[in-house]
Order: sequence, then C-alpha cells, then structure tokens
Amino acid sequence: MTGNGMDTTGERLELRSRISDLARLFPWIERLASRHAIPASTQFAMNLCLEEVLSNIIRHGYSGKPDHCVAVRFTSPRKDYFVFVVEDEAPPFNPVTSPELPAVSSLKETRVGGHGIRLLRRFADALEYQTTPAGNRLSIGFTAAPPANAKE
Amino acid sequence: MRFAPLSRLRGRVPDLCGHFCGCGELKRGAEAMPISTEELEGGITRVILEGRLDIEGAAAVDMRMNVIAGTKKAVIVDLQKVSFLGSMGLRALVAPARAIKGRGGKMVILGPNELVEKVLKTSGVDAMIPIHHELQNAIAALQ
Repeated sequence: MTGNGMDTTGERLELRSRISDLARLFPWIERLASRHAIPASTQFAMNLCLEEVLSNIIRHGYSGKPDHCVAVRFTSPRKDYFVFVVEDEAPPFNPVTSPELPAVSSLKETRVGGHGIRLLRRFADALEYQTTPAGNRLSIGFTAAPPANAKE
Repeated sequence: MRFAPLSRLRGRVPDLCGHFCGCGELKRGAEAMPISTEELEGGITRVILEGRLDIEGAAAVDMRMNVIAGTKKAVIVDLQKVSFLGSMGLRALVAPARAIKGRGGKMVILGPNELVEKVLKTSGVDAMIPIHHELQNAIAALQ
C-alpha cells in the first residue's frame, strides 16, 4: 500500500534495456487505464511520453547495452491525477532542462528525429527530475482531461 | 554451436524476433502494423497504415515505406486507422517524405485522428507533410 492507501500491486513495470521490452509498455498502460478509468486521450499521452523516455534511456542512457534495468512505478496521488516514476542507472540526463530542438519546418532539414523532448513537454502535465545515487529519477504527471484541453 | 538448457528457457518469453537469442530485434511485422497500397488515378499511390505507429510499428513498416519512397512520386499516407503515433513513427513518415521530395515528388497525410494530428503539429511535421481530411483534397494536392 502507498501513503494514499492505494494498492500498487502490479503497478510497477521493470524492463530490461532492450527496445523489444517496450512491447510490454502498451499492455501495461492499457491495464492501468482500465483499472483507473483513465480517458483515452490521457492514455495516449502516457504511451507517447513513456515510450519516448524509456526508448531514450535504452538507446542513449545505456547506449544500447542490454541487461540493464529500467523501473516504472505508477501512482495516483489524487483523483484524476496519475504519476509515473521512471528510475534508471544511466549517466545523468535531465530532460526537464535539456534544450528543446525547434519544431521541424522544412523537408530540406537534415534531421528526422529530435521531437522527443518537445513531445514530452507538450503531452505531460508535470515533469520532475532528480539525480539518484544510482542514476536518474523522472516523474511524469498526467491529469485526466479530454484531448481538447491538451496543451498547445 | 551451444544451446541453452531447456530449464533456462522455460517460462521465458521470446523476444519479438521470435527467438530466445536476446537479439532484441523488432519483428512484430505485418501483424503489428498492417500496411497496404492502392494505386489511384493520376499515378497516385495511397498507402494505408493500420494500428499503432509506435516504435515497433515504425520498425514494421520502415522497409515498405522506404521501397515506396524510392519508387513512387505522389503518395498519400492514409492514417485514418492509425490509433497512435510516437516519435519513431514520425521518423517513419519524415524520412520517406524527404526521399520522395528529393526525387521531385510529394507526400501528403490523410485523415489522422485528433491526437495523432496533435503529434504531427507539435513536432512541426504538418509543415513538411501537408495534412488533409478528405481524400479528394489529398488527391488534388498531388496533382
């Protein structure tokens, strides 16, 4: 039980540092969404942000080396508010203060990626970063809201 | 060649490649992200994607999209049945759009849902690949 009396059994996901392990993310979030009546638009934002954060940890934080661990803990500290806490043992990286690349505007630009931090900041409602003795802890908060309320 | 003892494999879930090799390859394939094409009048190719264009979905369609980008000059990517779009999915759209443009052609997007469209707009991809919600408009944009 957590401090708010919420049973968190089964609400923690541990992944190996392999991209293939991300296949477990969507079904897990789907189960959480069903259990906590999370609206589809919020579920979409959760999938988007967590896929981005976890894939970055695996590809960049762990440099693609397998068999490291990433842990995600889900809590709902109050009604209609949901938090995922992502912990890794990778070198420090703070996505909250890292510079955001501008949105692409032309097919002449050479980059095809670089959207991750921008998407994370626009689709999450709260981001909090801490370094830990082992690595990084990122808390990502979502408020249940219809898509029309999503931040521009 | 060495084989892992069965006792070590029991209870393990194979990686997406279907092996127990730990290669981590993403081979969810056609079942992950069905992709089909339809040739329309005027040399226009409609590419219909279905499902989640997430990191696995993007991996599943990458090769087909590259082939299309290397051979077609007027392409509609139909996202009406796409329920999710992540940043790797964006790459799977931007890279072929750039290749098609490089060959003097054009790619447009048809019918994304509200959330998928928000991803396209947030990333600025809509400025590179025009979005249309009616097939007729998408076709007109390519003529």
